[in-house]
Amino acid sequence: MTVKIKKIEISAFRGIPELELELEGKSLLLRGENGTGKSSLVDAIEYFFTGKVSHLEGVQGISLQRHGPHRSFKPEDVKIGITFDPGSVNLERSFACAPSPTQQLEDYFSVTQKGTFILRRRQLLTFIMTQPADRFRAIGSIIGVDPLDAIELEMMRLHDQLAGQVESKRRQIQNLYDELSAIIGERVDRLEVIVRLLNEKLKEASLPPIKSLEEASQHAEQMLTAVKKKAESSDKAKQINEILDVTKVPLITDKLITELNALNERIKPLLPEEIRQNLSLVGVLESGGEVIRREKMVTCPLCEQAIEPDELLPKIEKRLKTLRDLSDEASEIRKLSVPLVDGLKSAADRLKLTTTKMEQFDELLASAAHLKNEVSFLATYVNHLESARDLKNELEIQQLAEHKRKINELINNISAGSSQLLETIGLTEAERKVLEAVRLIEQVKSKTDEISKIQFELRQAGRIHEMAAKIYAVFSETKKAKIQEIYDSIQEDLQRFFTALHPDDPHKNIELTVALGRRASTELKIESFGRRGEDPRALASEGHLDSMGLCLFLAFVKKFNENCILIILDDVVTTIDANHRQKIAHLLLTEFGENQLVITTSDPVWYEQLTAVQQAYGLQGNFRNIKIIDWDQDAGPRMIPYKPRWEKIQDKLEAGDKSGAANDGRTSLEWLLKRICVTTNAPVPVANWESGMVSDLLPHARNRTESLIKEEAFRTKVSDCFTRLQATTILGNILSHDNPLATQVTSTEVQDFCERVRELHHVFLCPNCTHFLAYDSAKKLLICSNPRCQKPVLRKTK
Amino acid sequence: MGIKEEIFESFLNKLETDTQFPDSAVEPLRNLLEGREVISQQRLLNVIERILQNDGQDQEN
Repeated sequence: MTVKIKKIEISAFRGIPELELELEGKSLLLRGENGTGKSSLVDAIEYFFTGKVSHLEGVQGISLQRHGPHRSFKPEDVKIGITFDPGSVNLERSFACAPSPTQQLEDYFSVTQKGTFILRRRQLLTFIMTQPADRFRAIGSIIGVDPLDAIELEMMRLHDQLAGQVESKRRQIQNLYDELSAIIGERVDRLEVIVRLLNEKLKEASLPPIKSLEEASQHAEQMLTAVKKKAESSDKAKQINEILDVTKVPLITDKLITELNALNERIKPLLPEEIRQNLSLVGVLESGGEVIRREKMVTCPLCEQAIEPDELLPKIEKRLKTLRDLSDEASEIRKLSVPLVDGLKSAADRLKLTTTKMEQFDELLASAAHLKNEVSFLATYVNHLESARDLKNELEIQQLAEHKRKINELINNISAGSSQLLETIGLTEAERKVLEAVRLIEQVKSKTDEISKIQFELRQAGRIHEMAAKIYAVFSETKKAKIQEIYDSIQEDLQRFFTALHPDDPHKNIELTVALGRRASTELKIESFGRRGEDPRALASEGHLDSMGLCLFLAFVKKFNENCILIILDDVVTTIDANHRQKIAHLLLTEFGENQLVITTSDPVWYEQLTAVQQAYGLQGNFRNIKIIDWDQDAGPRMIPYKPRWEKIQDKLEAGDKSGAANDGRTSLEWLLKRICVTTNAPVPVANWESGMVSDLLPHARNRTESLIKEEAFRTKVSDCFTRLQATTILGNILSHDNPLATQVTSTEVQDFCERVRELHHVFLCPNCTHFLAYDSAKKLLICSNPRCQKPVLRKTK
Repeated sequence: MGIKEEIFESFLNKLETDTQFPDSAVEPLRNLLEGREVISQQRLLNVIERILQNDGQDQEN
């Protein structure tokens, strides 16, 4: 059963204090000047279904809570009620409660809750003029793949994160091999050679060799027991040697500085003012969201307006997600920064451990205090680097370079101080040799253990990364293929709609393609003047771009909103000329005549075109045509139902308004004569055309039609109509120009004049569908202009 | 079947027929995709780690 809107009731919302609109399941054509409440009605419908008004979102200083309620009312007065058929189900939305659809309305709401049934003028160009990613987002919400985009994003981020971890572990291993090489004094790049190299050192010191790395520690212990010096001295020597170990390998390398510089060069282009401003909101949004969540606040801590945490928090999350969703370059930056962050953290950790060891020696206390300051700086710099990784700032490399110099000076001092200290302990040569060998074994063992551990972690991380990469690649490829399939499936409708609007146009063959190599992007191309693959923005007029956006919207809606027949078009044809608007009217009623359309416009011509097309297709019973004649803040929009011109004239005559009726009759005649002249290509002097007066156009219209029409019976009929009309036109003039004779004219005479105008009009209408006749000079015919007319009338011409 | 479900199904089928992808991985991924909870990086990571853990145990057995 098709769900339709039966009635809309609006209280205290936007420009509408109170309104009840009976639709009875019909479409609505609403005409009104700018600022008379048309868009308020659309806002109310959007708010009812989605809980938001999209054009009030994301604009600084504007909020639904503040700007949703009518100026004379409070937020709690806002109420939107919609009654649906079948079953007259009435649902309501207010700031306090959302509508809960009944089972039969669930499918309908699954579409309307996304808000993809509304097209506003300002949204039109979203499909055309925006970046591929924004276009994809707009289309994605219609076709329902936006949740998949979020999943793909998480997959991509996990993949990036894991790739960074794998790279970081590789570098850690490389660094450990560098350190191991420095300790042994020979280049080492695999663990298998360690025992041999170690034994060569032991042999040089005339000490017994080790059999394997596993027994190295035990071997070292045995050698230590052979040293007869006091245990205390041995322990001290051991600790000083550990401090000295740290001084042998530079912790902040030139390579690290170079890599940070390279990273910074990639970060800088992503920090323009606009992005920076948006990113600056991240912190506010994060901390604001946290405070609202933790304190369960119902008032905004910044503007003190009432808030709904359950509605606001998901919005904050969504906004944060968008802000964090940066380019592929940002993703690369995230990957590259992982090993650099790890490297700095590791350096800070090692220096911190060293300060603890140094504090046991009075001689090293001063240096330990300086080193502590540097550890603290490195910790701060890690935060600074992480913040740059998130594109919040660029890196202060010079600052790090200065501290690198300080740290190196400090390390040199510590090395000299520790060596002196070692001298003072006073070990024998043999004891020193043993201690040095033990230190060598311990250092090597520690490094090889660490390498083995990280190699194991690397294997684990590599497997996880491999699987995450596979999952991401397959998901991304599947999603792109499916979306391309969808684009291909709407292609036929899209071309048909566009061709219906622009039949003889050099712009055709619109192509929508999923952008390769990019996540969630859509390219839009068109064949223009015979060249395929052109960006439409480069070639087509604004009107073309608008109608292309409309066609895209309609093609997607036709395919994806099948459970919901509601389509709202809010003032979408302003840049399109009258001829193309006529075609849009035909397109809407032929393709979407069975939908429940809500069309708003400020354009009287399009309004008339739409009402005429309704009649042409016999759909006038499916529409409520309404004009907004007035609006003020207290009363809101004042609406009257549309009436055909002849009904309005009749109403005026019945009310005794002879002048008003005659004036309407004369206006109609001016329009009719112009239409006859245009249709039949009547040669009208420019001055006459510009004046547009009845007396300037009527002779030309009559002469042209009488000379053009070949069928004698029809020609006589037309001539008779003109003759009867000309006998009465003076009455129209008398009554519409404040003429003193006006009082002497009777209602009957005015009625006669208007009837004659109507009679002439009817002669030029197709008796079957009431469309105006068109002149086909090639076929030499006056023919019904309605392409769908079942029995089009044909009148032969000369 | 909606677009979302079609993409999920096609994605899982591709993984299922991929000889280099462990068979045991498809079901946990299906549960993750079809579940009601938001799919975050952490949840994805947990699922992958669990799959690899089970895969390792299977190979040991």
